[in-house]
This record gives sequence, C-alpha cells and structure tokens, in this order.
Amino acid sequence: MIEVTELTKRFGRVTAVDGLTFTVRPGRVTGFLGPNGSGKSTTLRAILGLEAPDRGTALVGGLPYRDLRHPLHQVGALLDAGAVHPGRSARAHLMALAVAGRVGRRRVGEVLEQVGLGQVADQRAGGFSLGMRQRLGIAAALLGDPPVVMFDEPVNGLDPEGIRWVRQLMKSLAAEGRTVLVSSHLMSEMALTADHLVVIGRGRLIADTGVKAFLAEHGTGQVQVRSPARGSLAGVLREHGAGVEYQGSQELLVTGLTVDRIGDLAARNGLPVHELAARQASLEDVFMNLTRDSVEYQGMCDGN
Amino acid sequence: MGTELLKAEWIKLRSVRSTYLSLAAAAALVIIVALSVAGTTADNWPTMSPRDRSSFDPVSAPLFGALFAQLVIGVLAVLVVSSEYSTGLIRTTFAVTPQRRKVLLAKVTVTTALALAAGAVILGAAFLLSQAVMAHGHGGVSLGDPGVLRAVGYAVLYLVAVTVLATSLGAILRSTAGAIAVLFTLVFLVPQVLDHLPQELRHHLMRFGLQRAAAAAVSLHPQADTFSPTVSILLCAGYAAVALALALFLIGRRDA
Repeated sequence: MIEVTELTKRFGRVTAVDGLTFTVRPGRVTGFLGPNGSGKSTTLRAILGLEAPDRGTALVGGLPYRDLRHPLHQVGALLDAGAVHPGRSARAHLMALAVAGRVGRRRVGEVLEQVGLGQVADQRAGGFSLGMRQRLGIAAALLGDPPVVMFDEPVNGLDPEGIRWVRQLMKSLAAEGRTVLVSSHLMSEMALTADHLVVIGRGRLIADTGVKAFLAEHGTGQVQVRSPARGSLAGVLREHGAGVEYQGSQELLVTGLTVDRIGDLAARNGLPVHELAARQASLEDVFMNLTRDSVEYQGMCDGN
Repeated sequence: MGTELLKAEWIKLRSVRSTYLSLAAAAALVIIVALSVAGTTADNWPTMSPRDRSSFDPVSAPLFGALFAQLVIGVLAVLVVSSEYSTGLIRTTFAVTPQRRKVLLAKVTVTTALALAAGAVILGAAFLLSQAVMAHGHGGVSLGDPGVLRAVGYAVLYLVAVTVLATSLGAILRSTAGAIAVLFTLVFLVPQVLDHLPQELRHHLMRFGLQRAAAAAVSLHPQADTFSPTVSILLCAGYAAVALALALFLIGRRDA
C-alpha cells in the first residue's frame, strides 16, 4: 500500500505537486495519469525518498521510504529506462543492485530471464534499444520480489509485443496481490491495463476512481443520429429538451435523450433515420477534457 | 558501513572498461616518463656539474609522470559519482540504499583502495625501473637510502588524496565536466595564479598550492619556501578531507 497525503513539492517558484492525496491499494493495477509535466515523476520520486516534500507525507507500507529496512525487498521502481551506465552489462548492473540491496545473486539470472533479456545479459547496456532498457529497468524493479512496484511510463519505446507483455506483467503482479502503480500520459494505455485511476493535472488530484466509474461519471452520453431530414428532426428533439449539434452533412450529435427516445420521437413525427448510435465517450476524450486546463504546454497538446 | 555496499561499488567499478583503460593509461604515462628521465640522466651523469648532480632529485624527477597520472585517476574517480548523476542511475542507487552518506563513503573507499593499490604498483615499478636504469653512481638511489621510502610512499599517498578529492568533487558538482574543471583548476590553475602574486605573498602562499605541496611531499631536497614533506602530504590530505566533508554534508540535503 502506498499512502500519499497532502504532498506538496515546489521547485523554486513552480509548484510541481500541490496538496496531493491518494492511496494505492494492493491487488489491482492503479494507473497514475496526467499530461506531461503534471507532477507524476516528482510524486514517484517523493514516494521513493529521492525528493524531500515541502509539505505532506508519502508512506510505503505505513513507513516513510527512508525508514524501510531493506527497501529493495519492499518496493521495486522503474523510474527512467536510461538510468544505466552504457558501458556496463545488464548482468553487472543488476548484480550491483542485488548486492547493495541484499538480494540473492541468483535472482539476477531469474529476472533477466523473466524480462526476456537472458540472451543479451552480458552485453553492454549502451547498445540496448529503448525497449530493452525498459525491460532492464523492469528487471531491476522485480529484483527484490517486492510487494509494491512502481513503473514510470513503462511502455515508452516498447514495440507492440513488448507493450502487451508489460500489460500482462502488471496484471499478473496485481493478481498476486501486489500494489502496482503505473504512470502514463496515455489514457488509452491505462484503459487497457488499469483497474483504478489516479488522475492529476498541474500537481493536483483530478480524479481517484475506478476506470468504469470514471467513464460513467465523465461519459457525456451523446447519441449520434444520421438523418436526411436532420433539420426537422433537430427541431423536434430540441422541443423535448435535447442539446443538438450539427456534424458533417447529415449528422446530429444529441445530448440529453436516450437512443430509444430519439427513435420513438423520429417515428412519431415520420422522420427518416438512417443511423442511430449511442456514442461512448472514449477515456481519451474524457481525459483530454478533464486535463485541458492543466496542460502545461497547450500548444504541444493541440498538435497531437 | 555494511560490506554489501563496498561489494556493490566494487562490482560497478570493475564492470566498466574505462576503469581498466584509465589504469593502463596511468601506468603507461608514469613508466614511460620514468624510463626516459632515467635514461637521459644516466647518459648525462658523467658530464653533469656537481651542482646539477646535487640538485637532481632521484625520486621525484623520474616520477614526474605521476603529474599526468593523477589526472587520469582523478577523472576516473570523478566518473565514479558523476556518471551516476548523468545517467540517472544515482536515483536507483539511492532508492536501493537511502543512506546516501554510506553510499558515498562506499564509493570513496572502493575507489581509493583501487588508487592505493594501483598507485603502489605503478609508482613502485616506475621507481625500481628508473633506479635500475640510473644505477648507483649515475644518480640512482635505493629504497634504503634516507628519505627515499618516505618520498615514494608519499607519492602514492598523494594519488590517494587526489582520488578522494576527485570522488568528492563528483558528488559536490554532480556533473562530470564541472568536477573535472574544478579538479584541473585546483591542481594546475591555482598554482599558476599563486605564481603571479607579488614576491612577498607568493613566497608565503605558494606552499599551500596542491601541486606545490605534492612536489614538496615527494622531494628529497626540501626548498626554503615549502613545508616539510610530512606537513605537505597532510596539507594534500586536508584538501581531500574538506572536499569529502562538503560532499557528505550536501549529499543528504539535496534532491536526487
């Protein structure tokens, strides 16, 4: 379990994390979501005792990280896939961590096989692709077989097969009863992996909820209608309290009425309907709407 | 400090090629310089004036190459810390061992032990080789002669002091370029600046320069404007101690 309470971290005049409170529970994958620069990495570093918060606390298993007896056995973390000496082999890198963290040397071979780097274990990490480095970082996080794991943007640089592998890994770690916190700026990725979401923007909590509840709460309940008589239909729907928006040449985007009701109204008024579909707002849309105000560099986001 | 941290740092140090390259470069520099100085001296000895003969220092002259070797070892020592900051590995290191001072002390201990061993072997070999070339009667001395063992030993200890200083600078500045720049400034630039002071000040301050103190520590013929060899080596150790204390002070206070 990870408990973050009223966490605040400033860098000079910039407040990177602002009174953030959330709890990460064991047995499920918790997605830690926010646009780039929203304070995710700062929060993870504060949990690991790498950055001293200006206010608030971050506890792992009830203790501040620095008070953990053998941290590698308690918490595994992937912070930055590039954090390897380019001249050192994958095996030597993990061996140094294992020895310092009082983990048996036998584990090094095991985690290398687990992440699929067994064949290249003795090659210099400088020659690794970003995807291989991600795997090495994940191997380091798994070294101590810890009950709590944190991964900062673990799918960056991975190929589709690697991405699928990470998703499976997260889910199986959670299924084993571990606490799994995965940060990402990609809502779509979290929709596939996470059971629970902690969404932040500009260092503040925006949502702390289940994925399904998140959608239900923020889904807009729009209905897409295609009709050759959309002008008349729009008038009818508006009379019944719907919000109507014109789209394309024949379509309407209707809010405030169910699919059934719209179909009935059209039939009653003898208006032809060629298509009638409930539109589920994607998690991506919801996320973009929620975090629009908190995106640090609006221009970059608009470009996407 | 638990031995596991020492073991971990030793694994790190011996698992990168730059460690071996640095030691090989240092050895080559020191031994080539020692052989060439000794060879030239042995050739010229019969024609040298008595004054030149008496001012010739049979220990420090052939070990002149240590001047460059200290920088090679110093850069290696800087990298032991600074490369972890430049790659971000330091965060992983501190996550595994939140007791940062212990981490730094382990790094300093392992790096210094390596410098001590390598320095003793390299400088010892250079000394023996150069004395063999010069031999008695051509300016050569043996370890049993007065002050000789001390001079060679202090040359090794100076290398150790530079290693502690450089490792500490890596931790203080957290950047390879910055730490190397400060190291070179302390070793080379500060003496240059002191050398251009007015005569009176220069006479009193030169002896405090790191390079000057190193030369005095290894010298068989102390100069009037230097400290004794033992005070000089303690002064070098003082530089290292101040840097290490500052590094230990800062490392726990800053974000990683």
